[in-house]
Amino acid sequence: MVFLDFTQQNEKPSVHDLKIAPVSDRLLAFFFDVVIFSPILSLILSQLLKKIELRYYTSPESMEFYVLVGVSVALGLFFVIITQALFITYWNATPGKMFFKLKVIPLHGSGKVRFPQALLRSGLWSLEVLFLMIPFVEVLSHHYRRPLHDRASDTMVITLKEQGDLGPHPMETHFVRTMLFILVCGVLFWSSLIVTQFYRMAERGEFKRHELEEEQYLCASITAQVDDEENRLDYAIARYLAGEVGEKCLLAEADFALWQSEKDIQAWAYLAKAIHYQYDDEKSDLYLDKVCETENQGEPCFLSQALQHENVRLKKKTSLTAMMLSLKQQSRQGDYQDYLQELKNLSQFPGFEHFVQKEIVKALWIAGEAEKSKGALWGIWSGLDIQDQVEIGAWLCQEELDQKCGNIEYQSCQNLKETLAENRYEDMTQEAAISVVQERECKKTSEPSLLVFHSTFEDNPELKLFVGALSSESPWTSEKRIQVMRDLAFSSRGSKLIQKRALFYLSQKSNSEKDFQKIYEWLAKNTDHNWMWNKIYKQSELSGTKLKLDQYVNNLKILKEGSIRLPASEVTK
Amino acid sequence: MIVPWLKGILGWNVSPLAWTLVALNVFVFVMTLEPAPWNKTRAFQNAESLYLTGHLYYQYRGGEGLPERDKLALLGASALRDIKFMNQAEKMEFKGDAIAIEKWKTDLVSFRETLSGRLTKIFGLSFDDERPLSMITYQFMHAGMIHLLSNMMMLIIFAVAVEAQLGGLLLIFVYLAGGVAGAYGFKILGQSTLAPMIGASGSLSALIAFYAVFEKKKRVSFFYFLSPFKGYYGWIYLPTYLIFPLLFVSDLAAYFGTSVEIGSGVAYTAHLGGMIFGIVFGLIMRVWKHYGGINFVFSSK
Repeated sequence: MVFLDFTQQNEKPSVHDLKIAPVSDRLLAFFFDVVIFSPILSLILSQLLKKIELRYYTSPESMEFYVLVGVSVALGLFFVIITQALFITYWNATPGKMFFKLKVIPLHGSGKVRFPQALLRSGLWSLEVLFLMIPFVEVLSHHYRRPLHDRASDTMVITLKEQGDLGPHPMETHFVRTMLFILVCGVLFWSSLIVTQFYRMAERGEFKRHELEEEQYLCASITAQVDDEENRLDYAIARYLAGEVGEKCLLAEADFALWQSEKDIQAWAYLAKAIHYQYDDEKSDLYLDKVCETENQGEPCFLSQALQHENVRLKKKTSLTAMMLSLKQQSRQGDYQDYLQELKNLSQFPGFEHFVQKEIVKALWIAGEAEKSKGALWGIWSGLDIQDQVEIGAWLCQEELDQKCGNIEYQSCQNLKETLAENRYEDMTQEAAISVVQERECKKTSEPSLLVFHSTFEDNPELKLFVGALSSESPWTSEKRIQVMRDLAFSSRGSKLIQKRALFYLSQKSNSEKDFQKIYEWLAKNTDHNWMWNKIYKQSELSGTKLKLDQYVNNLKILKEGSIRLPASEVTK
Repeated sequence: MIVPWLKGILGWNVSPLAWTLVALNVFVFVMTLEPAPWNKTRAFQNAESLYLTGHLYYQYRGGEGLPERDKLALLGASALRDIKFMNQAEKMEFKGDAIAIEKWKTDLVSFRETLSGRLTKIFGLSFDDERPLSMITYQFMHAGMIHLLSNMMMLIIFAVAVEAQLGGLLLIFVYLAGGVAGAYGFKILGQSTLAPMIGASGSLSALIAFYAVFEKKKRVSFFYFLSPFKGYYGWIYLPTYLIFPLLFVSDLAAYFGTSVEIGSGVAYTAHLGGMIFGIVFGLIMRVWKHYGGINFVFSSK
């Protein structure tokens, strides 16, 4: 019996005698293989690809979609590994390599590559593909052009052409290795950032929130509070009006009622649609008409009539929607006496907590109870979600700044800025942007930088103009600023909030009688005598007195009493 | 980048009919150029409208209760491909959001009117089109610049090769008959759709398949370009049979891999129809050539 001497060193491969395959040929051979095999692979996987396409359009975030993609990738890799291994075992080359006269040879043993050797080579090659082909870059730096899969399987790619490759220059090797090192460092840094981000998301419970947000036909947050089918829509509309649920939730409920053909709740569904389309007058009116057409005796019909005729006061509050509409009416009329009481009544129902809390803060402020209002806000602050914090924080910050603008550290503004910064300014709203910029101007600082508003400005050119007119960093002259504010204030289109802020600005800064005429026109035309209307009214009255526009001031008083409405041209005479 | 290219036979005098075919396609494209009515069709094909269409189509198909929400958009997409439904839906009675349904019906009529007035509908090949002439006219229409350029690039290569080898008469026959075969492929294998089919790709597939079968021993020169450095660009000569995995298999894969509900902007079935014609005709001509019967075709060169 003959025993092999395992202590004997392997014979050194005589690779220097072999003609190294040029990188360009290997690259081209790879592209040819892709061109030849990808249609065949697509044909084999066509049924799976069809299912993936369907899933992509119906439920791209479902587990089924990811499983199907995973199965396709696995099958694709299996096909590639086996096909490549078989070609290399039997012909020492893939079709692409054959066209370019390349050959895969083992460095030891006979001239044939054994199947296990070829399988190992193909398997590692596929893994390298999964790593975005970065390990292939080694072919540029290795002396014999042997990346990982060649070294691990003890093979080498040679050319059958007369002239072989000379291998890389030492400087080339050094350069490629340095680049790979930098890349690895970059990947490590990027990975650590991603891991931290995921950890923070998990800590904030964002994954759970995403799960809960997946809605089916019925809105999950409505189901959690109401068992009764009849009251679902009333509850959904009221919560939508309170800003407690989104339009997706309201529409899901309305559509379910409509398409299920339950006649008794269809009127509510049409009312829900009318409220959803409240900014599209034509569509909203069609839906409001349809409410009474479906059921002419009942709460939804009464509410639709109240919505169509704004002067109808909602006295009987037999539904949550009626309560919410009544609250909105009181807010529009500046009737804050009853507003607080109504809010307290509403707070007895579940699902309106955030709305009630925010509105109490506002109502207390408007009622002149500033300290109570601030106290109420700090009491609820930590329980509010980010969007609510931004909303109410921006409102109170703006109010404090409007009351007194100077180098004062307002807690509301400070909290708002902290909330925004913690979330990398992703939750920036129009209101928040205006408040933060106004505070910068009052305190005459340059913090935070205007760059944080960049994406908000991109989506909102009006806001960009408004901030441009407000900010001292803007190169505009004071005349230009007034002109921009004029354009924003007297435009019939665009954001109502910016229009009102621009009107407020003009009532503070303008010296022009013509501007005051137009402000009067706006005040007279606007039937919503809400808090902002009152602020503009008071400020223009104050400025009118200062500018000695006596007739204007008198007419404002008459307007407030509601007895006479003068044409705009008569106001300042 | 790798493209097939035939060296030395691209001259006007060598293959005048091939160049005429290209010129005719370009001329027709320029003459039938019209702006796409995106604003009118998109309003009808947006996600909200697809959901609504899905609801209506579900009722039309006799479904009871409510379909799975996930399936609504797909049902809507299927409805857009159901010509019978799309041609008469405005006269049907549906249950549901009456306001939205009324608006949908108005949009449908407007959408159909927009489509019917377009030149692509007049000269293109529709699924329910009975006019025999549209089987010819669709071959010379193109939807856009990229569509035209990609088709013409391949057409000039293979039309020139066929004309140089077999003569202009045969080229015209393969182009037109291949296009008609493509039209039948579209009608027999294809999924019903409102959108008309246009383009020379059916004829082109026939030409390519014909050339690959008839000249199977020939090698086609391909030009490759990876970078401007030496060794990374140049010519490579590949056998014509390589065209099959490149074109036939990928069309077959796309045909099997495209879902009925979603459909595709490419008429793979027309490619397959043209290609089957090309293969069969190529084989016939090879047999004919073998027995010496093809000499008269060569004489027309």
